Amino acid sequence: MTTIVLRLALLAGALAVGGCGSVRLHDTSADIVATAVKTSYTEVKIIDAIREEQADLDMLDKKEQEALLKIIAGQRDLELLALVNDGKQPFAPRLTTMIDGRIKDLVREVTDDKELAAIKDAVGRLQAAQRSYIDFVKRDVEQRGQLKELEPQFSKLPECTPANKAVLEITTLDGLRKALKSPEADVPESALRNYELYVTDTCLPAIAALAAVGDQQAKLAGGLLTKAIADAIAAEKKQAESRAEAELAKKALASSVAKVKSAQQARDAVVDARDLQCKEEPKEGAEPAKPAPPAGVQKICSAIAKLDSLGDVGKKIVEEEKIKQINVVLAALSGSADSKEKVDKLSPPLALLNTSQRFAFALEDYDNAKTLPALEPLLIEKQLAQSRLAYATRATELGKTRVSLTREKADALQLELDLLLQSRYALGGFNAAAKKSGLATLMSKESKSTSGRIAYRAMSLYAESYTVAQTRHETADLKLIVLGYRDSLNRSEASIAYWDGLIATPLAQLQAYHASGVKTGDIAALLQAISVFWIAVK
Amino acid sequence: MTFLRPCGFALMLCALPAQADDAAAQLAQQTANNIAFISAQLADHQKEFNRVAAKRIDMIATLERLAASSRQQVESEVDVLKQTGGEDLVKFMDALRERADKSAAAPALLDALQAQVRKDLNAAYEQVVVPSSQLDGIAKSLTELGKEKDRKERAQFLASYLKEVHQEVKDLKQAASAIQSKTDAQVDAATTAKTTEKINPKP
Repeated sequence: MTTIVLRLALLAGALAVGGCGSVRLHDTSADIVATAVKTSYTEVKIIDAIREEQADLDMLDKKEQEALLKIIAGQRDLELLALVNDGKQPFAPRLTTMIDGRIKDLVREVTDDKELAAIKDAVGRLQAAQRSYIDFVKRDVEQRGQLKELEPQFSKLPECTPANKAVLEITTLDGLRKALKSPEADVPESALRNYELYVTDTCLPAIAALAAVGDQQAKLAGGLLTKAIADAIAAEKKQAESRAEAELAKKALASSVAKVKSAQQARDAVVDARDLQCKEEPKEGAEPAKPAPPAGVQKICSAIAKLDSLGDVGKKIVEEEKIKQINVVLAALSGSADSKEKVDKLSPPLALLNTSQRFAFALEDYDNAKTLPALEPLLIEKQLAQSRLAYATRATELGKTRVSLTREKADALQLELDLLLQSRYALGGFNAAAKKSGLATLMSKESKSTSGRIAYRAMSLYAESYTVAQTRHETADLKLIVLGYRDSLNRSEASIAYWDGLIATPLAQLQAYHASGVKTGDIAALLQAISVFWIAVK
Repeated sequence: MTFLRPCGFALMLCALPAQADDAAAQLAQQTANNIAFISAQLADHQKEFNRVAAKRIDMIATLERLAASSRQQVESEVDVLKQTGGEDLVKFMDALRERADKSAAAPALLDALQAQVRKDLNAAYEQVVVPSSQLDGIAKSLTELGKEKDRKERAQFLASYLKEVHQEVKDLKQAASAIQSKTDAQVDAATTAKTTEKINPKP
């Protein structure tokens, strides 16, 4: 009896105090629909469909490469047959013509045998100059970063290019100030010493290496190999620069997050969470934004903008940091720390996450209610960040693959040239009579020991130029082309995952919402109890 | 039973749409819109993917046909050689093809060898750690020391410098005056003595 009275009192009390806002009736049909929708959506597994397409792409890539290798093998055999079949025609001039035709495609026309050594030498020097230049490019970005850390004015330093050589070769403080376009800037003498070291050890050698690359390229006058080497230089340079810049921006982001934390800890009052957001830089002469964001917040915004501008490499770092900070927020919310302590812990992540407009709403709720925000936006934000991170990671990997394929193509073309030159040198071993002989004569028992061996070696090297080298660069070329498909599919997967994040969480929320409420069974039991109570009282 | 009436009425009122229900309905509508959007996007994507796949399958089939055609051509020529006494040339050709095919795998083996050696050496090599960040910090501190002072700082420095110098000069001047007075007195005394001696010569 006591229980019945208690339940009755609870229902009546809830209705009296909270009205219908506190008691919601359970709608069975809505519950069934919400559960069915959630189950059906989970069963669709939209991401899995895209993943199956990735497997389809793998299969198509493999089959294309296999077919390509068969084509190259067929071409090789036909060329060899053409040499073997017409055994009475002079062998050496015919093979020479075939080799020279291909060398012309790769680098330039061979008009004289003496040129062969010059071509070989130029290609070797070009490769060496290229590697040296790339090393200097990497050092250049790294050392410029160090200079900027020492003196921020160095961010205005002109790029290390041949056009800027005269401006960069500075030995006086006044000259340095002019180069930095800050005549009034306070550039100390020690900065000049650091700068001089950078110029002499890195920038000037980089300019010299670039000049060497240009000299050797001029000697080769174009062709497939020269173009492939130029492509490899450009790709490796871009990769080295973006990696180094991303590393610097990553450091800047970490230090600005730390700065927000220490600034927050140094304050006595709790900072209004809405101040932890990026403000537009005031225009010249305009008053700065009020209230000014806490120290470090604008730096976070600048660091994120910089990373975003660096493409996938930078975006990957931003998303990694966002996920890390979301986890900090979740950990802080689950703890038992008091409000002030929580805000201290939350400030850096909130400042970082607030650069995303979606999270700003949750932040406003947080600020208005002076309570911690609902977790759903944060969870959705985390899912979105994970999708973006997954895409950025794949895109970064694709970028690396693109660079390594570009390099592989150049290396394989160089190998092909090398094999063709070796074959050409081998033909130089024929005596005057052998040079006029057909392959059948050269392979006859009488001459087999010498001329036959030379013919065999020359043809083997020529055959290898197909099997060993052409297959490699043609495969690399094909892979480079089909990377576009992979990139497109990765983008689609990211986009679908993005939407999935915006659908799955609300569906779970709706299911939970419709599953809740006072069920008819509960009410019937309660009414029954009331009746019994009423009868008993009567 | 009179007690049941207000309870039933209250429950009926609660069955009317509340604010939370509105929010849930809005969320359901928004999610339905999102699902409709993603469904259309997926359909477009699949159509495009299938189109590209069909194109690539066609290309692979064409490449395979070309490869088969050149293979047939080679076999036909080899047959001609065999039938016309060119067995030696056929053997020669086969040897060349076999050797070239074997060589195709050689770069991969060399690459693997090179990678293994690199890996082993890197594992054995202990990297030297140069405390460059520490040195950079020291350099930065020194840079602060080395910075030229601005006008205000210079004026302040100069003012305090001059104050110190002025006192020193003042002290020095006093000391010098004292020495001078003393010397003057000594000179006067000596002169007086000499003069007196001349005026009053000793007998």
